[in-house]
Amino acid sequence: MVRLVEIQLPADLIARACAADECAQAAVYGAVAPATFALVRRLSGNRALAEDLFQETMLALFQGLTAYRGEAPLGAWVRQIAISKCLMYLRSPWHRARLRLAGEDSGELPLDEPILPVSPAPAVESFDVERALASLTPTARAVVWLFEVEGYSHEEIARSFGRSVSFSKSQLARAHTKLREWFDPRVDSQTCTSI
Amino acid sequence: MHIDIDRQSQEVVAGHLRELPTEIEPPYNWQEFRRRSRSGTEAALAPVWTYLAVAASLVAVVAGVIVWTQVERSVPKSAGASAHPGSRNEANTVDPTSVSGGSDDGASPISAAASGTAAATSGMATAASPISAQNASSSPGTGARSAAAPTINLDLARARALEMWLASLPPEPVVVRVGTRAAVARLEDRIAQVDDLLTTVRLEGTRPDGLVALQAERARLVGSLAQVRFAEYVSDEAP
Repeated sequence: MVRLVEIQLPADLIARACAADECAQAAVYGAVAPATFALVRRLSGNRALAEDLFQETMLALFQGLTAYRGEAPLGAWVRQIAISKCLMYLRSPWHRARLRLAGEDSGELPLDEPILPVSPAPAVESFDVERALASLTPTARAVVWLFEVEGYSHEEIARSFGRSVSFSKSQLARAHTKLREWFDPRVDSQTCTSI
Repeated sequence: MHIDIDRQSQEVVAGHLRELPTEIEPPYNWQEFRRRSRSGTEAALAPVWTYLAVAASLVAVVAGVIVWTQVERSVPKSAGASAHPGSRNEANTVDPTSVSGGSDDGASPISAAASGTAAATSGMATAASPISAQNASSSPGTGARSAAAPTINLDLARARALEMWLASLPPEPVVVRVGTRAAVARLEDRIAQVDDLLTTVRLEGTRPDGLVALQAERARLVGSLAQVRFAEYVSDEAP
């Protein structure tokens, strides 16, 4: 299992993909597609939506591949495209209106269908984490994923969302509270200080 | 104020998140991605082509309307200008002397008759002057003469229309202005002289250039006579 940001492809393969060599393009697709779809799936929280965002991300990848300068691994570049696509969707007024209608902002998100990893067979813990993550609001899910997994700082998250740093911190705090409740429901019923 | 996050539990949650699989089987392979990309591109382009086609149709319709309007305007204007130069909008006062034509609305029957005879006289002039046509094709100045032929025909048509208009005028009043009457008499004499010369030249058939010049001169004289008679008519009608 390789993280998307660590995926590096040979320069000649990228050059051939830029030259519309279909074999090279298929190789690039095969190299980055699983990690890209995993990232999009985690950020979007909805499989159908993730497929759309994945398609847009891969389209943008091949349409803009000639602009890739090779200063960073290709996976990091693709990751930036995928995150931008997901955040653009989350910021769109259409999506917000849809969420308002569905009551998703109130946290009453229906659980999505389970995600099937490539390999190995999904563990029970992994499945629970997926469900816990899906129970978050889209914004909180994106913030906690970007901060804890992708290594974004609060400033970078705030810039990506076009909001303040306080927004990022508060979203992260709420997400952690929700996830703690999910993993250990007794946390809130116990006393905070144990002497 | 933010809720203080327990660092330990935060690390636990973060650890759980990082343990999630970093790869998930994509929903489709490369071939399907290519197929969807093509269909998506075509679907995205289809509305663009539709809009372009609609815009082009609108532009074509607007251009057609503009051209049609211009043609509709220019046809009656040119017909009116060639048949009766200078009919104005006044119902009963037709100015045959002005060159720039106005609208034909309210033109007198003279104008209509003149416009009707214009084409006929033009055709007659062309057909009835075999000498000029014959000499135009044989003489050295063929190009210039052929270029001048339409002008002569136009002058002839204009002169005939003016003559019809003059003939339709009411008879001369009993009391006339001396200056106006003298001018009219002088012009009529000159026209009569030119008519005599034209008859002579036509009978001889040896001076086609002189025939053309006499026709132009006659048209000019008839125009002048029409101007004077029009001025007289207007002054008589004025209170």
